[in-house]
Amino acid sequence: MTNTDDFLPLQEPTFYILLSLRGGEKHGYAILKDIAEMSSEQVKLSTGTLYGALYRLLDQGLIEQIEPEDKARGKKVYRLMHSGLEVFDAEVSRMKHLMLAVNKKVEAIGGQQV
Amino acid sequence: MMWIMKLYSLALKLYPQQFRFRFSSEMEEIFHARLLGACEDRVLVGFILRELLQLPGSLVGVYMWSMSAGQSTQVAVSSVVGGGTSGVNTPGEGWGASFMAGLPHLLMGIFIVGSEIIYMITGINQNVFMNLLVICFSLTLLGVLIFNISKGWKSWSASWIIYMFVVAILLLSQIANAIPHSIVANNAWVSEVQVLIIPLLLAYLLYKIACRNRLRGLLAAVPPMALLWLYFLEFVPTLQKSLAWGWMFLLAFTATVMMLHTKRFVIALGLAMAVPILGGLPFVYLGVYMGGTLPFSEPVPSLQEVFKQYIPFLAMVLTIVLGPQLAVTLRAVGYESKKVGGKIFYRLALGGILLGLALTLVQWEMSLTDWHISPKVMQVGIIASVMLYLVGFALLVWSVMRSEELLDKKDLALQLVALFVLLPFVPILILLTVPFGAMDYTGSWLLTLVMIAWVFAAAWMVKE
Repeated sequence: MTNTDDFLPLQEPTFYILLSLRGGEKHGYAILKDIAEMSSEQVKLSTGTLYGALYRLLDQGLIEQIEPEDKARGKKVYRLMHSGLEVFDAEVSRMKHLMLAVNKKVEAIGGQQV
Repeated sequence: MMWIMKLYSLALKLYPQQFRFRFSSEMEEIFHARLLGACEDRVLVGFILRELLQLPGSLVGVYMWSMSAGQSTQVAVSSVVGGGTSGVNTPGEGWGASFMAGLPHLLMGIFIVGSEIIYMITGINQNVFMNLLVICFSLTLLGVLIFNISKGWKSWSASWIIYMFVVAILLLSQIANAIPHSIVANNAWVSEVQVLIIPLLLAYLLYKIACRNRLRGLLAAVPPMALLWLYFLEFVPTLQKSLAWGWMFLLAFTATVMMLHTKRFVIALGLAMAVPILGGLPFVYLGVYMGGTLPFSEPVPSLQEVFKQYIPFLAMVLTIVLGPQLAVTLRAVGYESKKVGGKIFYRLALGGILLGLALTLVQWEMSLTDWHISPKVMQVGIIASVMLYLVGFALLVWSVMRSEELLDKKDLALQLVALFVLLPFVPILILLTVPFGAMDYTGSWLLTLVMIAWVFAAAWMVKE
């Protein structure tokens, strides 16, 4: 059984993809648009980067692909699995700890908290 | 717009096959939508640059993941209608079966290196010891043969079959050589049979194995690709010879085990090609520096001479693995257009190649011995070979054009053109490289470049 911590830290595209799917199942194009919007156009993934990451996440069992009912017309949709949610939450918690450490240090040296 | 889409479709071909199978249509669809969006927003250049710049990283990531994930990964694919999870990868063989596939190489390594070392230490006649080992190896092969016949041919048996073939030929040759002259008057024909018939039989055997299963075809090609480097070891001291063989068979063993364990064709192809690429170089080095392959025209051994001999010989050796795979690709086209005679036409084209191969071997035999065939007969043979190939291929293309199912297939025209160009290089490369025949041509860097280009193009074609 793979430990959640084995997936951490997440790469930026992976993090954004999981974050996007945290809000519900989406198809590839919607994920890309969501990521661009969430990051205020700072993170713009190429199609190859997105599908490279989706390929890995599918293999790792963190997300799943939902076949459309009408295969000829419908788009494939990706959904966060329970294990993916755990990994995402663990990453967020790791980032919170990091921020905590940063703020403690900044406070100690008399700077302004981030 | 169309040409950008076409370029993108081509770029997608750089990804592993399995990845493309799963995502390429979706990626093309999304790329198209984004391309339209970028045009509307007037950010086309930025969009294309981003796609281009991120492509190498994405490719590396996908290939790395494909290789590291192995076959144990499961892909979660659930259906709105049915649900459930299914694996998409073909499961690889277990370590036991994979080890069995590599075992003949290990045994060959032990036999050859062992005999050399024992000869070096004890001075016992190497022939006596070798004969003993050949008997042991033959008995092992016989056991494997009986096992596979009774239990059905296992996937690991492919790497044993060629050793069975080699040992059977070795034993038959010994018997033929031992026939007294009083019975057959002259047994010089044994050499002609060995040079002309055996390579053709081997080529046919490799092709038939690859027809049955392409991965098995790769496994079967490893033994001849390892053994052919023997050519460079004449006059090389025993210790160095042993080390070269040890390295070669260790490589063959490791590659074969991994090939069957991963059971991914692209990786297996890379591993099969790695055996002569990595294993052959020490042989050529020893041949040039310590053996007898340094030409009289060269005053001293040099690394330049090593590579001058290594690259053409390597290209020739690689035809053993790539040639049958190319032929199987042509066969697949023929079978798909079977309604209109494709099954016959691809055979005609391959017949032309086989005839070309036979003529190459005749040329080789003539350069080795005083055996002679009139130039007119050779010319007729060459014309027949070329005609057979051209007519067979033209008819195959005609049958493809008449086959509606095939016409819809993307890139088929490109595939046929590539096959048309690449297949004839199999006998040509052998002709240009065979020892005593045409090693002199290797001085031409242009030809060397053509050989390298052929290897890359053929590997790419076979991968597809």
